[in-house]
Amino acid sequence: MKKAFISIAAGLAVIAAFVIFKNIFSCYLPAKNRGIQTVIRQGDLELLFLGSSTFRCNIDMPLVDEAYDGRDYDIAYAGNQPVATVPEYEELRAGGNSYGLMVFDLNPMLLSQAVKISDARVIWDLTFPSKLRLWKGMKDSEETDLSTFYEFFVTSGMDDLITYPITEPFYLTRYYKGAKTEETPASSREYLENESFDISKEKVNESQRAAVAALVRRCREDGQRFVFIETPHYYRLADDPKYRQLKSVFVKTLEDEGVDEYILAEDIEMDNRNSEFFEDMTHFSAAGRREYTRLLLEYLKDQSPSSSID
Amino acid sequence: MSFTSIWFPFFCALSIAAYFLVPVRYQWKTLLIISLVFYSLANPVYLPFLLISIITTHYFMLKGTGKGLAATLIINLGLLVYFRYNLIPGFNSLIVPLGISFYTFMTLGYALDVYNGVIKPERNIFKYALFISYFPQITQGPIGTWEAMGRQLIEPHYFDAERLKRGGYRILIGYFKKLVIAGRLMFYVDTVFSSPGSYGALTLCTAVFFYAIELYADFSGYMDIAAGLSEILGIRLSENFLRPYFSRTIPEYWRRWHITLNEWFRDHLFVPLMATEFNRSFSDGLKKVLPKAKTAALRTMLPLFVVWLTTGIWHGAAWTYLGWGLYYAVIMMASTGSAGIMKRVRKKLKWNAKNRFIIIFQTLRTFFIVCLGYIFFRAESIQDAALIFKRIFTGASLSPGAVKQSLIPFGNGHQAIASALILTALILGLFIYELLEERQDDRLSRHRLFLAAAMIAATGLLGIFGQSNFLYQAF
Repeated sequence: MKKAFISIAAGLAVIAAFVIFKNIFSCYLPAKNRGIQTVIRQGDLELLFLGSSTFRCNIDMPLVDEAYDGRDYDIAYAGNQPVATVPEYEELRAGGNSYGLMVFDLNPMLLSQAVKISDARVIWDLTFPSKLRLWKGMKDSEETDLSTFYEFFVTSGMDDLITYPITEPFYLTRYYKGAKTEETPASSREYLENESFDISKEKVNESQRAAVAALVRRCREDGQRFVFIETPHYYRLADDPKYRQLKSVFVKTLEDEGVDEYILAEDIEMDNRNSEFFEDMTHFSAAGRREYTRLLLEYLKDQSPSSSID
Repeated sequence: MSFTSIWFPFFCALSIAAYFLVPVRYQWKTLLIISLVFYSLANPVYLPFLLISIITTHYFMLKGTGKGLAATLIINLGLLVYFRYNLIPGFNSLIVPLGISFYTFMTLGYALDVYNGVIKPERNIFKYALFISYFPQITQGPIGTWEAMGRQLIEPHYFDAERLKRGGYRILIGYFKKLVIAGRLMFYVDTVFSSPGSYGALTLCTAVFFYAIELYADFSGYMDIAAGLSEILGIRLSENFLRPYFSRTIPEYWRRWHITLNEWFRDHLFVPLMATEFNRSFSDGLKKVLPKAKTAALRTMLPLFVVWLTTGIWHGAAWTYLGWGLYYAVIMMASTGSAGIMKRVRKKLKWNAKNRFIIIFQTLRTFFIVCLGYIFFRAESIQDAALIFKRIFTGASLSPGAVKQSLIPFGNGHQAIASALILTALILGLFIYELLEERQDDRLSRHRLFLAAAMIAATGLLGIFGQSNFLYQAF
């Protein structure tokens, strides 16, 4: 019986070791081309994108490099969760660097997301105190339960940690400054025209809306220049009445906080009916990514520096 | 209460403590109370239907008469059909009592055994009630028989540390299979099968392969937990799985997969059907069409067809299950019918059944046939099944695009590689474990403590908690 207890204790000790390592040290594991700690190590930056997969897939960082002399980066692991963007922002600020302009995601669909762990990388990236702040933000919403707690502190990101020696070199070949470098092909028009989606039952999640407002207030308090941008969606989604309704709520949330300048998809003259630009309803193909980044950089250049908020 | 509920370990600990702390003469009564409480915790509304089945079956089978059997069959099959199949328009049931397919078959098995004189009717209704409601097996089986279970449930048991270790280890294996392997595969399988039209052949093949592993890990994982828990209490449950994916033929596969259900059908449907006059005349008719066929093989054709169609329908009222049943009916009939020819062919080819490559070939071939059957079993409609078959057999491609697409259902794009690697390692681990068990390799028992520690760690770190019930709970 004694041996059985030793066996159980050994199993639990392994769990404890991995959990402690993941929560406290994983963010310091070298990740040359992505992640908050990597950004902090870069020093002061002129332009920083802070969002989720739309920024990862829709921003072409080599093009941004040309416009900003390489003083730029993309953090794209918030997993469609404004609730997660707030502690990410705080962690970046706590790093002591200055960021000329922070670009946040104005994807209307973010507002309807349930508070959950949709991208484990954000947990991996944060230091333990920031993790606790993120957990508090999630806990304050009604969707979290014991299994979410377990996922947050134990299982999330564990795959990446265990396979780190294999996956990290692989990721190095796929990302540059946090964004995709892959030559993503466009989907066929037929696919984009027929891909089914139903967002009619989506509704605003107050926790996410409040997080957007909180992010604006934090930037104001810190004197941080920022802008929210909506990357174009394929017209079938962009023209959906529910999408438009969520977008108007997002815009109103910003305006209620006194933010009256944001970049909507229609401000950038990109053809969102051109299937060559899209991989799916939300994410661009490589051609779309380059086209959009080019147009966005031109727009930012025209607006810079005074108009970009505050 | 589900075995994956966070409260289940506490419930088990309390139940085991109560069972061994009460005087032995109260043990089985305690177990009956625990079982009914367990069942009620799932949903108290289910309990009356279970009690109706228990009370009526016990009453009608006391004398073991034909009328009693008829009443038992009508009541139990009536409840099963009403709740599971929604056959009467306007009288569709909103609930399905947990485990109704399993306990109904136990009930019917008991009634048929009493009627056929295989067993004597149990006079004490509470003892019979414990047999039907015994909590480790009520929701998903195994479909135990009174002959195997009755005495065990009632006789006294004393706490045994060795049994605790053996049972605890088996429970660990069960949770590892369910929470780590089945839990992780579920995401991929559900994503692909919910819209198979969006995926190419490689992704569909991967999903079918994953479903084969998921279903096995899920169902046999449940059985491991149930058997382990029961072993701690001193009660041996019938085994339901014997490493079925190492089978070399389909008939062998069905002797190793969901064993108690197949034995039930063999004993209570196949064998009685074989003996009917109708079957005799039917096979005589077949003999005229196929004069060279062996009479013994022809005798099995109709019973095989009926048994496999019924097995399909037992899983649910859907065309997909019917298609799956029909698929196996055809395979089993062809397998039985061609046994003589194949024997001659093998002799001519000097086929060495012990050759390692032949064993591997036969095992892979059997697994492939089983996987094709799963397309019917898992598809959400018969149209989806047809689409999957068409894509797999006409659109196979190993292009970089197809490989990339097959990673999409793993989830978040930039973490898919890590998930795929972990899953590959886990499936390989399970395969090696089962292979060593199949070979009765003593390394498994020698390194049991290490394996236990590894399974605790893997379940704790890689398990998917709070996500789902067991797949067979739906049947």
